[in-house]
Amino acid sequence: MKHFIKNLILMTILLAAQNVFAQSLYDLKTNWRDIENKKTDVSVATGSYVLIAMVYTGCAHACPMTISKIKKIEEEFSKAKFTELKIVLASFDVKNDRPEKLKKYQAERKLNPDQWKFLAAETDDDARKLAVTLGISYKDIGDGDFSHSNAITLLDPSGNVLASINSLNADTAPLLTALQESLKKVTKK
Amino acid sequence: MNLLFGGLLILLFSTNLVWATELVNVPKGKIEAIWLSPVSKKAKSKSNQVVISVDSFNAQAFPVTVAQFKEFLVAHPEWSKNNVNLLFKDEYYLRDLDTAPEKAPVTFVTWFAAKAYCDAFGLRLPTINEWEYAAAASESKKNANREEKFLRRILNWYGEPQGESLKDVGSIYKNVYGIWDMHGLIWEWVDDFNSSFVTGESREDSSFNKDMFCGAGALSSTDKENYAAFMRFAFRSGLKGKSSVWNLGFRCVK
Repeated sequence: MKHFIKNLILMTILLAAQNVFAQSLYDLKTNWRDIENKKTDVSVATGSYVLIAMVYTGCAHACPMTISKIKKIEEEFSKAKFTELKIVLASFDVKNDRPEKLKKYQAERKLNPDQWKFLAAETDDDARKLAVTLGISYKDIGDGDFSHSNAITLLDPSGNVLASINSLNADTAPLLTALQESLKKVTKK
Repeated sequence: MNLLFGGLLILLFSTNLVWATELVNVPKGKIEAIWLSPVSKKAKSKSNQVVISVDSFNAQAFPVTVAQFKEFLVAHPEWSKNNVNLLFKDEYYLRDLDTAPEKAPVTFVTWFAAKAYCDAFGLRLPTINEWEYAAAASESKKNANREEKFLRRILNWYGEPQGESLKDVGSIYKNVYGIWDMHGLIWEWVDDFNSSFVTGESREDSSFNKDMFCGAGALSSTDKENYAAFMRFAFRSGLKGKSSVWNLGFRCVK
């Protein structure tokens, strides 16, 4: 009987673990280019905790706000003594945001390329797939402008979605809580 | 001998493989895109009426059936219920697959699964513009979006209570292009469904929100023309890629 319960517990843990691993964003097969025009994937920062968001650099208002929001989250994380964060910013403006433009944008904003990874989609379909998975709506409204919703999503080192905040005004606390819970699990192991 | 051959032919045509590849042409054209940003007549006089051009494309004459989707799963077991990553399905994914009639449209499918299905046949999901353009056609006209009888059928269907199970594909109506059941059987996935959103975040949609939500009870007859399009717009805006819905299926285009 004891044996049985032990097995049952083990099985539950295994199933739970499987469940967790079955939620990796990195299972999404899409094609991207980095700022050096090398083929890459959204899993470019595997092994690190990642904040991932979608932007377009022609955007006058919401996208600089996404970047400053991410900087604020990063600050909150480092106050909580976590500094290993990477940031992946994928563009849904497939036509205009090509690698060289993203590289220029990154340099202008003085965002360290070791930490901030800008991605240019190979096709509209690649951008659309990532947006749908992250729960982001967007529409090309012409003249290089997009109307879009905003989401900043926290991933663990394997790409599992830990938490997401869905608007520029949303409280960032759920991200820090999710990070700390995930770190706790890792140290227990 | 002729009889045998004829029998074989009928047999062939009754298999789902033929359906899977049967595409009908939708010629290019222009249409007033009331689904892009459905607004009331009052708001419309101030804003722009959007007329869009749609290029010629080929569409599956029928929505994808349960039997066809089962065949797909044999070749692509990675899309079966237990193999799909939780980011790409919800708890209802393929819930009815084992019990639904073989010729009923497959439903409880996610956007990801629908895309993978089309992809496997060298096809793709239609865009909102393509789908709405093809769906505007009645039995006799290419654009019946402003026709009372055509609209009444759509709105009556939207208002119908849920049935026990879905009818077979090919049982509602065939439009002028030869495409079956664009309205009246199921809702269908479009590739860019996430470009419709009723959140207030989209600048151009705010007036439509107010008019449609606050004034929905007092719609004039002209607004009713937009109401059917609004219903689809609102439905799409509520979906996620991993949503599985009892009356939401798909068809592919090329």
